[in-house]
Amino acid sequence: MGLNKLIKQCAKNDRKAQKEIYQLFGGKLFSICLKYSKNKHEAEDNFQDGFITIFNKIDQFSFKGSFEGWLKRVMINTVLIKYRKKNVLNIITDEIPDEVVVDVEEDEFSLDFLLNLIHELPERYRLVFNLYVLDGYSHREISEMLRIAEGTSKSNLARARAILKQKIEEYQQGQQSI
Amino acid sequence: MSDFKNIDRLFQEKLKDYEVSPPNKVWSGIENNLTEVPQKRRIPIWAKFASIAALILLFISLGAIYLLPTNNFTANLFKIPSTDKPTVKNSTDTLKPFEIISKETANVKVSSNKVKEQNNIEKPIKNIIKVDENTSIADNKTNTKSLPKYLTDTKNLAFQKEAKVKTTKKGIDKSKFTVATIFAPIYMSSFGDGSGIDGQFKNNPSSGNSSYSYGVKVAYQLNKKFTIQSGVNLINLGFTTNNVFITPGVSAVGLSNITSSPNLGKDTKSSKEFNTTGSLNQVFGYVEIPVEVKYNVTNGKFGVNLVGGFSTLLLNRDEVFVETSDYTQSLGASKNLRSINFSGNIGVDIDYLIHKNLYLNVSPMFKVQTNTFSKNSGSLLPYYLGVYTGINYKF
Repeated sequence: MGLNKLIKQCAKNDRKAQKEIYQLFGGKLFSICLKYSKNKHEAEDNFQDGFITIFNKIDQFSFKGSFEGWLKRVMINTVLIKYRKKNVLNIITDEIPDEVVVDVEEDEFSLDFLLNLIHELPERYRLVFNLYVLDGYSHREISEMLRIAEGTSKSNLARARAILKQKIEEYQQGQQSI
Repeated sequence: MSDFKNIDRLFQEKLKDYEVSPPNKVWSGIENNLTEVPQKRRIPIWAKFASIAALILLFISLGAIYLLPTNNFTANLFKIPSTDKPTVKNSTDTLKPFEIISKETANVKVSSNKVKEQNNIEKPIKNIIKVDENTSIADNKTNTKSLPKYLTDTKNLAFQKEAKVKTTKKGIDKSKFTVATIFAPIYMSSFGDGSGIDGQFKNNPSSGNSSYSYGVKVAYQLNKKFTIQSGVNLINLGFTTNNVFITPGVSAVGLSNITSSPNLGKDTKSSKEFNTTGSLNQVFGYVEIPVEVKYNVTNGKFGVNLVGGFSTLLLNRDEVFVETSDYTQSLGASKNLRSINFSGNIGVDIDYLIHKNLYLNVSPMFKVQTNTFSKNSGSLLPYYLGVYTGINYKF
């Protein structure tokens, strides 16, 4: 069955088609949840909520542009709405340089380690870092998605980078002292 | 190996395109939270009744058209060629206006006949024309002028049917039924040689006339792969036998397959019309009822299907014309066309999704007719190629 047909079947609430879509895109979408969420447990919750939203809104997909892109946007939005609700984080806009550079060895860090660093970031920093660095949204788009000022988005990103750099360097020092 | 790395790139490399399969339990969580949407069940009960009622109406109206004898359409449809000998016989005794024979025999016959009968005919031709016309008008069956009438009847038939089917559009769960309008240019030719007009034209070059077909189609999807379809089409076909010698105003051999009801429509005094070469056009029309099975090869925006089946063809038009560069003259109906015959159909069917339930449909079909002629036609086996196009509505 072609993807378009599958999507149409999903819109008719066909359970088999829904499962097929889930199996096709579950991996990619779950990884998004892992990155945007605070921990694995929350990631699973968000993933489940996101997929329910997807199937409830799949009839709104207009068959223009990539279906995968649409899925990602719905999933990210679901997560953002959730965190947008609870978090109020006031930030001080220090001027921090755009380029943050760390001294690393090839393949020094595992995927899990990096993911963990992201999880440890404060909520807003994590979201902005993900949106900007991993999913390529502009500060303008982020400001709209998170209902924050563009400047806030920029400073959030800089703070996130600074924290990550600090954590990486701490880790490296820890390794050396062993 | 130590390297200074932009912190963004460090994360991008590892995390941008990675995939993790979600835990299995999540799916059941999603499944439980998906609402059972009973949307499709909302319409069916009344819709099914409505469609059944519409179908019954359809059959009744079709039946009425076929069975009511007062209708021109039915009169012509069930006309058995041998029984409708025209009542204008009396005039044909004194006058057989055309002699039509093949080239080979032309010279011999024309010369002898001309001398004998020219005198009879040259006299009061105009009077005879009038008598002829009157008698044929009085007799509805042989009146060629009634042709347009029953053609319009059959047009109504097609549209009536369409209108009725449309009333059923609203319901029936899932996209099982399809209604479609059809129009097709038809290119006709034949296997074997011979002429539908008379055995003596066996060696004359003949050709099929291009024409058209139109109608409606109803399809029902049996399962994912197979669809069964039927419908009603009107189709006009024509055969032309070329290089025929025409000698106006001479009584001679009758043509074996034509009922002798020729109407004289030309002043035969002008000598230039003697021995004109012309062609004989045999025009026949059918009401076609196809029964076909469609096998789905691919679907998506473009759906490709293979189609095979057969059609029942009911004769509803039958006329022979003689045609030269100067004039056209009706010679009556052919006697050898069967009122019911069949065709084997094979072809391809391509759907293109335009909008939601609307499809554009193009279907090149090849149809070979069996037992078209009852006798005297050589080994003629007509076939035709039609590109059936139309709009499909799935409901």
